[in-house]
Amino acid sequence: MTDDRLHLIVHLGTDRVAFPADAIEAVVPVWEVTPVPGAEAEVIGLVPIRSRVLTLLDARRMVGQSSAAPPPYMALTSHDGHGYALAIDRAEDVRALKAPRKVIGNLSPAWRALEPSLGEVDGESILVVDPGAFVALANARTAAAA
Amino acid sequence: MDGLLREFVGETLELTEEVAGDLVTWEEAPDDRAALDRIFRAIHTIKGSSSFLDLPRIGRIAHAAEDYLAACRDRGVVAGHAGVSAVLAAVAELRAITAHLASDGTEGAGDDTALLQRLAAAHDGQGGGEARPTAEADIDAAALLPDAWRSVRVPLELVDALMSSVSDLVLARNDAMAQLRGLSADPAAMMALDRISQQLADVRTLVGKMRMVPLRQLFAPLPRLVRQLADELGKRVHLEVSGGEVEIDREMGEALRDPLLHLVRNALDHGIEDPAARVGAGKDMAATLTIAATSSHNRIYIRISDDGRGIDRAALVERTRANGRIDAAALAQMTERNIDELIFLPGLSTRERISDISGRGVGMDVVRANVERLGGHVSLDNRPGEGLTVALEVPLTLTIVGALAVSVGERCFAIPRGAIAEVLLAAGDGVDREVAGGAGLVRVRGELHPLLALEDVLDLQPSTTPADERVILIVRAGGGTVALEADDVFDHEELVIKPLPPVVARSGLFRGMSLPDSGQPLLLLDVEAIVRRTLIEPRREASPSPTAPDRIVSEWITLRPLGGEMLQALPMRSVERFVRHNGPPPQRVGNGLVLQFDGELVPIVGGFDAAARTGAHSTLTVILLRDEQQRIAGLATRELGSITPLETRLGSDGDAARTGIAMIGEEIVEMLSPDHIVASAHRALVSEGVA
Repeated sequence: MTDDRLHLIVHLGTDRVAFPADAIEAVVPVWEVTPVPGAEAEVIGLVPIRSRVLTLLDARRMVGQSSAAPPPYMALTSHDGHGYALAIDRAEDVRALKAPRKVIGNLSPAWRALEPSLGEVDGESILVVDPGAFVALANARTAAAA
Repeated sequence: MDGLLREFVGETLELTEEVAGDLVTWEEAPDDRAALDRIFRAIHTIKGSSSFLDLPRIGRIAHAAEDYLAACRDRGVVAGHAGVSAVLAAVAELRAITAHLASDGTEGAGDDTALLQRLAAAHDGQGGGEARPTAEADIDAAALLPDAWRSVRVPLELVDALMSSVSDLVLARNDAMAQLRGLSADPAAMMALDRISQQLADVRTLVGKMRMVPLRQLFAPLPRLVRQLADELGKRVHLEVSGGEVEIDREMGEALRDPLLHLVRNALDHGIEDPAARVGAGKDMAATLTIAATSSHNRIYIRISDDGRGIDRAALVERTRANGRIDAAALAQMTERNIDELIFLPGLSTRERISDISGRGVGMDVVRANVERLGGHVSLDNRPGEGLTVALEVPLTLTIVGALAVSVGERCFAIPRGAIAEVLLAAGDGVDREVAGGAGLVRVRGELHPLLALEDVLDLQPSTTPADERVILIVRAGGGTVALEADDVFDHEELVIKPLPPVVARSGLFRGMSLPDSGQPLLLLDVEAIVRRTLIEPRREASPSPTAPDRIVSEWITLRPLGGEMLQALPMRSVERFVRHNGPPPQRVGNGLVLQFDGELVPIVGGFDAAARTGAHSTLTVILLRDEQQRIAGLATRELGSITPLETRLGSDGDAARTGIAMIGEEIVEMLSPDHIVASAHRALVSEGVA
């Protein structure tokens, strides 16, 4: 077991976030989005990617960032057999991260729900989060609203 | 070992299921050598495999059954009722033990002595004569075996996974094609891609076939069931099954099993009279139950017909009244067909007593709900005193749904074809909007439907399309109908439906999603949920769908021809799509005319010359038709009417331009032959001469 796992560093508004690289299939630009009537605000819509239909979730909004403009990029992931895309502002790099540890300090309520951990890259702290946490949170909010 | 055991379980269940019908055939016709051979072969195979896997109970029962069957087979003795019953019991016991085997890998405890004695008694009952040496019978049967080895058992999930990757491959191909076109790629590369496309089409067809099973498998338990029920009820029933060769998606076949068994039980228990009553009514003492399957244009039709007493309308009305579900005034206004449909009300039976046979709490309402969930439709043809026919119509597969796309503004959604009763122009004849207590209603030929604008149902921006240019779709589910208003209706497409993720599914508005060739995701509306949500009042069942056809569903689209007044109709199943054309006029080729649609040349017919003289063809609606040979042609029309079931009043021969005459209200409708239209359009292109 190595404790240096590869992570994808992305930007959600002003937040710099690391996704475990093996949980992300690709990062691609957002083209056309088909909105979904009746869905919660976390769901931006459906996007066709390589012959699949993915559900585009507004990860920026879910961490409390502004999501006024359409997202330029999305990170593709899978959860419970369904394909999802997380809206991000940009992807920075793929880096090896030391084993993340428990978050210290007071997270914003939006972030707390995603249960991130704390990593370090270039001597700077970074939140490490499983993309599946966004899907699970969106599911929970939809269920609560229904 | 585990794998072998699993294979044995699958094989044994399949074999026993297959011979169920043969057993009854054999009893009815003891000289039917073919049936006897099949039964013998199945039992022999089970016996052989069981000894190989050390399954003593199965081995003993199969052996005893085989002995008796061998005696019948090789000595030409006629099987008696006791013998057939003993073999039936043996087959049932083999299935039971196999099921146990499947659950925990053991045969389970059980005493088979009585069964073995019955088989031995049947054997002995055949009288003297030495049984031929078993070895010889073995060799005989072994010669029949190799066929069994020529198939491979594959888990269904694997076939499903293959199907879905092939679908993905098709979409990836579309993508590659678009990219190459954008690059103005070299023709050689395009040709290579074309070859891939052709191969892909073949693979798609083959994989589709892998999932298909003949309906015979669904029908196999019926002879045994009918025989058993008839015995229990003291009735005499002759079962006729046809269309077993029609193939259906395995999953769909499984989903149809319960509704079908229920309808058969109903027919025996409620429909068919006991022999005395039948004789009293001047009927044959033995009733006939017919199950006939046919397929056409990706739809499967199964008719369950009996010649029993039919539905007693007076009793049904009385019972409904007694239940207090529908008030007397509403009942008094019902047509005969509406009354028949009352049997779809939950918890209703025309019989005083709920019998063991038809079960408790599972009624026709559940049958209909199940069939509609499959994207299908149930209809009735009640002939009081003479019998009842229940017709089921379902799509060929669950994963591919025939749908129409509807639009509001820029947004498109799909509606399953099976749920659409009619498509009307909002400004069409006989469509009147009304408002009652703030609720929109639409009256179509005297029938009232609640009217919902699609943009309101889906909470979208208000439509900017003028009201009289919009379309109205009458959708049906659960016996209710709702009129949905949208901006426009598009192509009839076969959509591969993918399940929805929870964040999309929970709104309850959609049933699935699809990626059509356009590359734009399309959501499939959950019509059942929308209808249910709209018709929440307890009186919802008061108006069983007035448009539900009473025979095999045969839906027609009506139209007015160019330069003619006579109402005409085409069968919906031949309609590829409707196109509104306001481009350049058609071009003459040979004696015919062609128009371009999406870069494709389509021969076109329909009184153009008459229309050209009056200059009335600036905007046309063209119905694109596909014939049996998959050729396409267009019929130009002045005006599209509605989609409606029609019943042929006067028929004519198959080859004519008209297949018959029907009536809508007082109006006569010519029923056109799509094959004739397509053939003549194509013929005109290749015939030269003065036009």
